[in-house]
Amino acid sequence: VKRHDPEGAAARYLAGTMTGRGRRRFEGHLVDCPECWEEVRMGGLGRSMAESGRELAPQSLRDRVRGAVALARPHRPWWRRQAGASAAAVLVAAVVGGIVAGRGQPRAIEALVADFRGDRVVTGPAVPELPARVGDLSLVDVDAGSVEGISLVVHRYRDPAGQLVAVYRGDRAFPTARGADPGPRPRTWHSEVDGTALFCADDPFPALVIGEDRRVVDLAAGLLGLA
Amino acid sequence: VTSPVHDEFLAATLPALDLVYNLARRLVGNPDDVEDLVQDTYLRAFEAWVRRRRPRRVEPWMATICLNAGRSRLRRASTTREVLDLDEELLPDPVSVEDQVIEGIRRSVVHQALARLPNEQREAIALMDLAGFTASEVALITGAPRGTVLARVHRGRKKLAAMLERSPLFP
Repeated sequence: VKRHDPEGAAARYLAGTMTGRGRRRFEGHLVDCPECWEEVRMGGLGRSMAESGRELAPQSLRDRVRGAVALARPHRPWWRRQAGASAAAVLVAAVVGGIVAGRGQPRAIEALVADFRGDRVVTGPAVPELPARVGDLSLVDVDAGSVEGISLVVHRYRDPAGQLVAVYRGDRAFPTARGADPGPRPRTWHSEVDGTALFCADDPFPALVIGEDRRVVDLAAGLLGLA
Repeated sequence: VTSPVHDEFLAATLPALDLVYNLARRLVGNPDDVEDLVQDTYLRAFEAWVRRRRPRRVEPWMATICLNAGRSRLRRASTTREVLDLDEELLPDPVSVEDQVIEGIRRSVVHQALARLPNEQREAIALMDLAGFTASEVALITGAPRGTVLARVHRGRKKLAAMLERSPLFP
């Protein structure tokens, strides 16, 4: 003898999990059973109400997710990092090769100087990682991308006089510019490439600061704790 | 400029954003928390994707990650009620009701009613009625037997109907 179970039967009926025969039998039963009828009515009503609550994700959230994923640098197990270090050695060799093959500077330096001068190569969406104001400098925009195997985020600032300075934050050290002078701290250097001033540091994070004016570049590097 | 892995991941998972968003909306109450949860879900999924743990079907996989991340957040909050109460500000002011915003208000009211359901019933409804999964899929995602899922969703729907049946927004 089957137990009369209005709630269970209505749930299975509304979910469409009854067999064709079971469904027809239950529909016949509904006509004579106010209790089951009410279960189906309330369950169906609740379902249509719940479905009316569906929403589209806002465009701003879509942009935020894209930016966050673009910046994500997955954690890797130690043995992969080891393999990564070997790959980095190969990369260094490739960059050195780039000096020979290129116009005198490592390709990454050439690409980033070109990016600073408006020939943008770092254009992906990003969320800011550095302060919106650095001294008198105001953040203009933030982009993410990859250049010569270095994943990076660029923060572009302007000073009150309109001078532009860009801070490229990398996931690894930048190659040293040809003809660079040692900076004020170990593993830092200064250079001038195609009329732009460059300052590079490995700590507290790998950063290359490029500007139109050496003074503004030094100022930004100092305020960010790089120099 | 992103890597091919980033592009491949986004191409596969961004179509599921509405689904993840609807689920997140029912797991945490505060709009800022909802966006944080969605972002957290995508970053966790990306970590797994990079480690070659790629699903056969993206939607249930993303829903599972979102559900687990949302439950962790709720555990960290002192009580579920505290989290959901923050959403009270979303309640529409009846005086401001205009024809062009009735749909939005209706969604808001449904959202409020869903927030009053027990967690398990709200999760089941979010997965079946808002995300469109079948009872069997919800069983796999939540780890509950299919019969239990059906019971939870049915009881949740009945409570929702009882709460809203007399509302003029649902004639």
